[in-house]
Amino acid sequence: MLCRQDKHLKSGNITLGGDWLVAIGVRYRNEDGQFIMHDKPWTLDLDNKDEGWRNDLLPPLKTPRYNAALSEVVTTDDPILDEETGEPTGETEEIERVFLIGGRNENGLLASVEALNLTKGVWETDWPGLDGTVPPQGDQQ
Amino acid sequence: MTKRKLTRAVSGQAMRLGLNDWNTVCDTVERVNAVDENTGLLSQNILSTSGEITVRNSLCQTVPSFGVLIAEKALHETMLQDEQLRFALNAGIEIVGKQPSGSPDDILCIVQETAPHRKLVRGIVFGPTCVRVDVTKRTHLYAKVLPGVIDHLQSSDSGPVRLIVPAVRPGVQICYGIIGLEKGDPVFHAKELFPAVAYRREREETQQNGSVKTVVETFVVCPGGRGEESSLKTVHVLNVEGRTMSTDLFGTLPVAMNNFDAVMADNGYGQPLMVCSPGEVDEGIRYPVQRYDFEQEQWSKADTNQSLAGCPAYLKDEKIIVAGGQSAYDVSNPVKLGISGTTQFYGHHVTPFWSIDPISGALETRTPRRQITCGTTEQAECHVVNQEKRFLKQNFKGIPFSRSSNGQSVEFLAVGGTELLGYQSKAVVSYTVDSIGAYVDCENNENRILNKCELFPDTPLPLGECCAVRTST
Repeated sequence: MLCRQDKHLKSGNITLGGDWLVAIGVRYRNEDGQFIMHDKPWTLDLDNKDEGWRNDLLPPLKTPRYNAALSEVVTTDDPILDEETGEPTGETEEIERVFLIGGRNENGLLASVEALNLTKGVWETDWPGLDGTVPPQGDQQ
Repeated sequence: MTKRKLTRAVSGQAMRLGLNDWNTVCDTVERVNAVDENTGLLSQNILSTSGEITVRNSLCQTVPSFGVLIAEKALHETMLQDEQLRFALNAGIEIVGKQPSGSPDDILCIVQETAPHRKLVRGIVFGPTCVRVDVTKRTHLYAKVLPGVIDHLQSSDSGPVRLIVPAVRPGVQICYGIIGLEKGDPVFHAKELFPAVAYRREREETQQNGSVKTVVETFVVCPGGRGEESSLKTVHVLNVEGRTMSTDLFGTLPVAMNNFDAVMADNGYGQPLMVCSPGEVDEGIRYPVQRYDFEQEQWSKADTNQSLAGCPAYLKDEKIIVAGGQSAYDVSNPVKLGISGTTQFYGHHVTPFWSIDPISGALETRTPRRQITCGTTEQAECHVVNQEKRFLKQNFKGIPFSRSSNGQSVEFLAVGGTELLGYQSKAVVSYTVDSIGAYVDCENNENRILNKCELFPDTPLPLGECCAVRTST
């Protein structure tokens, strides 16, 4: 896992060490009455609240949505794969994720599931959706 | 219903009957056979597949044939409707009928003959039956119960009775229907407005060499929600290690519900219990607290009269705390709060926090009702009270906090939230409840007692219907 000083890096390869609030999957109505989707997660460092909220630490969602469900942080021991063969090495690494599930966007209801991998600072889009289907592989951000 | 048009063939024409055309013919023959050619009603052959009971009309009014009665009380100790029905059919007991309440728990019974006061008649509780329906729209495929109405059902987009022959005209008429084919959930669903709860368990797995290995399974459990047209009972379960999604692992909600929160608690015996706060239901006036006991593998529910739709929930001191939002802050109708001399004060009663006992499912108010004074005229203008706007928001995300820093403590953070009284919240409001149960909004504490909580920065933009999580490493 990367250390706290890495949190100021731009999206794609950061982790949120320490104590954070992360807000994901939202929309609001602007002054013109139009609904605006937030595609980037907002983060607040609870150990340094004066820094305020920012949306440049975590990568944007592939499918912005609202009325979705967000799990708490789920920790698993994932098998480490060999970089060349893709086969399990027999070792595991602890991974923390939050799952963003279902919801709605301008096209209607969603069945897809995306996971924010907090350990690696990436969105994973290859999880099975509520309809049981898995998106094509290699589609991760 | 999609209408299918079959093309007539002429003599000598080569024909090839497709699957869909053949099935259409089968459906048509089935419907024709279902109707008795002498009476025009459903034939006895079809009715033999129905669930028939004997029901005694306990009402003073006469129920017309194919009218509606409801089983008066629970027939069995179980709260689940289908189990009660099976018990009644197997036992062949006499059931007392009463007026429908409109609750999803109503056990619908269509009487098969005119039922005067205290008369014992035949009634159908599931399967095909004739039923009197007030057709308000010919495209309706279902019929629903109207509270207090015994003469007829009303046509609808959903309901406990599936109409099997389209109505030819509007108004009250006898239709052919099937009880128990309520529009259910497809096996898989896109959905919104549901919670996601993490559940972790260990099981022992025997290896090929005979050794026993402890396997950890992590699930993200997603009960209920709202589909395109209605609330859902489906419980979607993501197996994180297995990377699979299923809908049959932890049963289905007893009552379809959406826009609620769920929390993992203890069932009193050290085992996990998922508690779902009362949210929105499609029909009826009761809002159940629904619980799933992972040890017993069983759902149960406890009805309440309070919807807490849009209100986040969290666990504190072995109780489920539900923070008021959309329905708990019912600010649609200002009420007269009091009179001082000749001045009348208007405002709202709100209950900021509710409490659910996970063992019993009972819902209680955790804090006394708070009076928000909006004005002194009958045109009370609540929305000008800026600080109260911070307080009155809905569909926000609640983050249990429970930390103390610099001598200040916070129990709960409210992040995001959509407009209530025309307001969209950028505020992150920290809440705490002091020892005597009074509610404290840190930035709006009249006594300026700021040593009980700490302040958090507002978001640069409103976050709307927000999903938020606290990550601590």
